[in-house]
Order: sequence, then C-alpha cells, then structure tokens
Amino acid sequence: MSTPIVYQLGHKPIKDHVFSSDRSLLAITKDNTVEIYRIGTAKPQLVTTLKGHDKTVTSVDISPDNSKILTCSQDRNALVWEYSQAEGEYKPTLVLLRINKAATCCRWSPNGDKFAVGSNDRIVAICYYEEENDWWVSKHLRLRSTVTSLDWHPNNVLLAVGSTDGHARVFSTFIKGLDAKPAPSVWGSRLPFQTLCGDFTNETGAWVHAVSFNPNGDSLAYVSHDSSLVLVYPEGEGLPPKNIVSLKTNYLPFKSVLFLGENSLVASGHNCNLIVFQGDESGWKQTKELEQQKDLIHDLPPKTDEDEEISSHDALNMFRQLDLKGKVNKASDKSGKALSTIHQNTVTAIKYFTKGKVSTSGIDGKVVIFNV
Amino acid sequence: MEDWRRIDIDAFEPDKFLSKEELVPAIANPVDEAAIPSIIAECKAKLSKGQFAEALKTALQNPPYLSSPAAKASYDQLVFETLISVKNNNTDILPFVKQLSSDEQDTLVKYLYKIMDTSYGSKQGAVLLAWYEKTVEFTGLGPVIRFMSDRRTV
Repeated sequence: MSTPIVYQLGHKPIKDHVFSSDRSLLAITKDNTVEIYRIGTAKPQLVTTLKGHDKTVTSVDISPDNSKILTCSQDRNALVWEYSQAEGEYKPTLVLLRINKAATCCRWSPNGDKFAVGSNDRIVAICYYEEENDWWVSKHLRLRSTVTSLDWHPNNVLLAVGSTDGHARVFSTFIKGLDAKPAPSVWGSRLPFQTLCGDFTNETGAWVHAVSFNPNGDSLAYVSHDSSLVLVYPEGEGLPPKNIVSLKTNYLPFKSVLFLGENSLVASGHNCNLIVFQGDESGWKQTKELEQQKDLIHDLPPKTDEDEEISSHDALNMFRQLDLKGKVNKASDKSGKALSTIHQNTVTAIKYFTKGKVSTSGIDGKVVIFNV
Repeated sequence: MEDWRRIDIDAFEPDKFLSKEELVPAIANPVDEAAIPSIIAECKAKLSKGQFAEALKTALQNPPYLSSPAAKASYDQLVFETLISVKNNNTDILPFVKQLSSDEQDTLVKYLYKIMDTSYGSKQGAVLLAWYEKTVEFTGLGPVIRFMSDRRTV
C-alpha cells in the first residue's frame, strides 16, 4: 500500500473539493473564492481563482463533461463558470435560485443537464438551462429544515436530500421536456416533480450530515451527528423498506460518506480518520480504520514541557524572547499535541478519485488522496 | 445594527413560519407517565434484594423522554440512588457498565450529565465521575456525542 498523497493548500478551511473527471484539475473552496489547481506535477499549480461571491463559498462541483464549474455560497447565489477561450478566463453565469438564505450545497446531475442547490431556506432548487432566455432557472423542492447534503441517483431524476431535522429524503426532480421518463425502480414508477419517494430518519433526531446512493441506486446511506451510519434498502413503491441497517459508532460524528462498491463504503468527519465499512442487506460492520489512530481516551499524548513546571531560567529566557521578538520560540516540537492522522481537523468531503483511491478535503486546508 | 444575529429572520417571511410544535421531532414515548411509579418501585425492590445489575438495567431501559418535569425529576432521583447504591456495594463498577446494552449506556451517560447538574448530584461528584470514567473508557466517545445530539432528552 503506497502512502497517501497530501496537498497542503494553505491553512484556511476547505469546505468542499472536486477533481475534474480526468483528475488533472482540482477545485477547492477557500473563503469567498474557489481556487483551481493543476495536479500532476509534484506541487499543485494554482491556475486561477474564481472571484464572484460575496460570502463564504460552501460547495463546488465540476460538470461531468468538465465544461462547467458550479459554485454556491452563503451570499444566496449559485454561479456556473465556463471557460471562455476568447478571454482566457472563467466567466460566471448567475443562476436564478430565488432563495433568501444561504446556499449550503450543490451537485451536478449525472447527465450534467441540471443541478441541485440545497439551502438554508428549507428549499432545494433544481436548476436547468433555459435556452430562449439564456440563463439557468430553477424549480423548488420544499422542505421543513436546512438542507445539509445532496446526492443524485444514477438515473438523473431522483435526488437524496439530507437535512437538519434528522431526515434523509428521496425526491423526484423530473422536469418535463428535459428528462426522459425514468425506468421504474425500487423508489417508484410514476415520478412527477417533488414526489417523495422515501423518507427516513434516525432515532435521535440528530442532523443528517451526508447522504449517498449506492452505485446502482437501489439503496441509500446516510450519516448523522449522533455518530451513526444508516443504510436503507427500499422494497418498492408504497411498501416499507426491506431492511434498515443502523450502526451506532463510537467515533466523533461523520461528515461525509462514499460508496466504494456495492458492498463497501467509507465514512469520515470529525474523527479525522477514514473508516471503511462492509456489508450487505443483512447487516454492515466496520472492517478497518484507514490510519492508525491514537485513541483520545486511552492513549493520551505524552506530556509536553508546557505541562511541567518551568524553571526560573526558562522563564527568564521566555520573557527575554518575548521582549526581543514579540513571540516565544519553544524548543519542543508540537508532535505531542498533533493528531496521529494526516488530517489535523474535520474531514469535510470524501470524493471518488480512481479505482481504489478516494480524495478528502479538510478544515485544516489539506486535500489528501488515500488508497482504500 | 448591533444585535443583528438576534434578529428573528423567520418573522420576515410569515408564510414560511414554523410553529414550535413543528420544530420538535416526533419522538416515540417509551414509557407511560402512569407507569413511572411502578418502575421506581420495581427498581428499588431489586436494589434492596441486592440485584444491582438488574436494578440498573430496569432504571435505564425506559427513560421517560416525554414526561412532565416532576416525573422526570423523580426518575432522575431513582437513577441517582441506583448509581450510588451500586457503587457503594461493589468494588468494581466496570462489569455493570459492560452488561448494559449500547442504548442503555447512552442513557446512562445522559443521566450522568443531568444528575451532575442537580443539587444532590453535585454533592456526590466523585461517584458520578467514577461512573462516567468507567463508562466512557469502555464505550468510547459515542455516548457523549449522543448525549449532545440526541433530541430525546431525559
């Protein structure tokens, strides 16, 4: 197993990251902007910075054909960026979201002809391109609480929505004239816009942080702030689910979940480590932690100098340095306090990279490519 | 404006207003309020017979999530007495933690936090902290996270 590739891209939090499908470009959110890097050389090269939002950018996604970049922000807007050959830069197009609060997450549909933007306004805006007016318009899915996460079903019509009321729901986003009629599936057969095809919750009512369809789209996984992972296997229209597998873990809550195959998935979040689960309809179990991790309770970090009483000589030196340089250089390294994982803070997103590899981004400003 | 974070922004959109009831998730009530006195009596009977493990399980199996504050307070007292009694009559409390189910361990941690906040609980801090230490050492951080995130409060 080779070592993970680590890109330290500044020290500001990365809320979301996405690679282009040929894995040559990387887009990350940073404050009010999105930075685009070229990957391939030893060090990622900053290609450009997309400046167009007034507030924190919350999510970024690249369309399946790599032609457009979608960003959404707390300034209530979503922008679609297209590369203009004539001007040699990315140009934004405004999307008519019609929301009054922050946009929290955005995702292109698998076909790339529409996208969904979740918001704090208890709305998911399903956006599509209107040729005659030359802009992106939206239709609203209405909910009762803030939308935290979205995931598209492979059929381009169904959308999984996680929200802060502790529910994960599956909606139809069928748009007349745009979508072909989807084949009947376990989620239902007649699917006009805003059909609720599934509504699942956790027993604690904790926020759902991430939702994910499995690769063939016949089941749904979601992670919540009560450190649980839930997998739902629907039976069919109008029938109760075949099985709901709920796993309570003893890690800090997961913020992201990704299927690696039909029978395995990886989750990560506040625990800063990647946890792999395997199983099927009859049950799931944790199979490994990707990195060796010190337990916060059992393996306390070794005591550092700071915990010990300092001698008067050290104290004198400390004040002398403070006086001269305005700061204290401590001889001791920080290794005692650092986490034993690569990510030193919450992992915000896990994305599929290539077979056997996933990429993660974190609050610590790192993007890491792990072998799983 | 100084206090802009406190503005009730929902008030500007009356058509989207959600009442307090709509914001509370549907919680299944695990125990009827009328049944609480009998649970308390059952638990106390087990304690006096020295069936500590059974008493602890009884107390933690059916936490009154939706009962009146008075009923909840009497239940807090019961859990507190059970914990004190188990600790006073046994040298090691770890086996008692281990025989609880995962849900019961979560409930135990919820009660530990709540009882530490009461006047009688704060006088017995050492006992409560011993329970807390042993529980979290065995279970990990999960029950603490669930104490903070669970909408079903004890």
